[in-house]
Amino acid sequence: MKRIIFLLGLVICIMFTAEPSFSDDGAEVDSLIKTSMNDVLGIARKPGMNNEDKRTELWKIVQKTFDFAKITEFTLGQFSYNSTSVLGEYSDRRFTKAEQEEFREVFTRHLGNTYLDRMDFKNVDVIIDLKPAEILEAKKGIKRAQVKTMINKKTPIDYILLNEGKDWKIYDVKVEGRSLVSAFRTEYKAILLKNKPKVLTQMLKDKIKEHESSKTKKKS
Amino acid sequence: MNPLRLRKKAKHLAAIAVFALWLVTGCAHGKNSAVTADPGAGPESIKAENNAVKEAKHNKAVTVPVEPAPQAVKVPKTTANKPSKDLATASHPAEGVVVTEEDIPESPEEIVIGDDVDDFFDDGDAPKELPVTAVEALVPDPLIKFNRAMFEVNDRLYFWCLKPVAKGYKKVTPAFFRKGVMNFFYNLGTPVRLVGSVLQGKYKGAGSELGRFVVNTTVGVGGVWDPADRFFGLKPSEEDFGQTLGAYNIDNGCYIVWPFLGPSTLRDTVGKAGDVFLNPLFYLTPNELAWGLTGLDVVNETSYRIGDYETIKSTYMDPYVMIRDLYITHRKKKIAE
Repeated sequence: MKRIIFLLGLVICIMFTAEPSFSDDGAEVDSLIKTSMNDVLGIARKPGMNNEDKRTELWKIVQKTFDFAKITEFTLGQFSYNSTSVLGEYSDRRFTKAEQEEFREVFTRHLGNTYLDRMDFKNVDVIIDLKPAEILEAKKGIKRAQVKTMINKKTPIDYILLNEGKDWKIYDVKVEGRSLVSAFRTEYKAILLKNKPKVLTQMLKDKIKEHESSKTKKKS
Repeated sequence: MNPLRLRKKAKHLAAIAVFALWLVTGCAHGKNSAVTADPGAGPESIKAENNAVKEAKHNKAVTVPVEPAPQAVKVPKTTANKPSKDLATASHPAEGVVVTEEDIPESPEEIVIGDDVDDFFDDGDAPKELPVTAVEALVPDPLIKFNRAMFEVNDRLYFWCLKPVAKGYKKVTPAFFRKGVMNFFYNLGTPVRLVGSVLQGKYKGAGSELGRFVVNTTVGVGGVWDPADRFFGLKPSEEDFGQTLGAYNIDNGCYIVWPFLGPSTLRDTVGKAGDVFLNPLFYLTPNELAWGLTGLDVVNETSYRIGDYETIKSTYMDPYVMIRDLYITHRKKKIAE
């Protein structure tokens, strides 16, 4: 009898600890992605709104949904200021906190330019197949989740999210299985092996300048 | 088709095959070679690499892979070999940093390993030294100088010719027309996909292809519509001869950028040559008509992708490397499917 009571107690404990957190997190992530997607499509399809205003509105949603500080940290990897890896003779390639903050600003702008300015507001009829959120293994006490989507029955896009205590935020996007953060990380790592952090930031600034000037040319 | 014309076309393809064979003998040895993938690598590089191995035993900051031999081993940066320190300082003027092409590494081979890029959280788990060494390249690129030149040629061709034509074409043609043209050419490519499926033992895919061809050619009016997918749920199986060779464990060989055709590998080039024979357009006469239709296919296809290349170009510092990586991972995925 004691054994049965013990087992029952164990089952109840497991039910109260594991089950609710799973379903709550899953529902939260599902809701975040669903709401964000609906908001984005709503703005993109809004009649009578010019493209610049649409871009501004979309940027607000993106900033709310994406964790750019974490994206920056993961992109820089071992070169990030808070990484504990020993860089040896490459120690001058580690970003200082101020340098990383500047890099985050520039990199965030670069990402925005790249993906928001590419949106074709005339052609927003997309079919999105949204799969239920999967809760991934937590790392360093940070909860993680993944949402898989299929765009127009053709292109798989997966969103990877984390929760450091408050809200769920996206920290990586995988297009056809290829991680965007990984792609930037590989490229920037190769650059950082030859150059100091300032050079990488400057390269991004140049890219932004290039983008702005091509945008101005298009307008004129 | 006129047998003389057929022979002429066959001769052209034979020439391509001979060139491909020359490339096999010219660059296939780079596959397992430790140094040949680096265009500038000569005996000095080998010596330097040996020195690096020796130094690695004494210097913990440098780790050198033991096996398997990477395809493109760059000389690890050691105290005896650190010219880029000067480069780093030189490229650091107080104001207005000038970034030259040299600042961007030619290939991603010279990157740091020691962390799994898919698992960003592992970095910094515990204090660890940064292992600086080469990483196995996605594909050997011994023709990098030629490839980069061809990449530039294709870049100009795209911006100066293809894009303006495709943009104009998109403007004057309604969406349903372009969709119909796309379906038509896709239907014409059935023999390529069908043979590819059969050769890979994907009989379900082969059956689906055959069914699609019959339905779309008849009910779909020569392939302009796709009722096979819509009403019968027959999905295309995207196979080609290059993928078939890959499925038979034939390696990529080296990376090649062809003018007009774009990125490829030695294996995929041979595969493409095989695909040409299976494409009905190859047997079409007169030749001008075949070329005209091929041109229409290319322009129509491009009209759906305007902006994709521009995005890669504006996003990454070195679009050549990014496109090479994207091509290889995409083909790898296709073969694995």
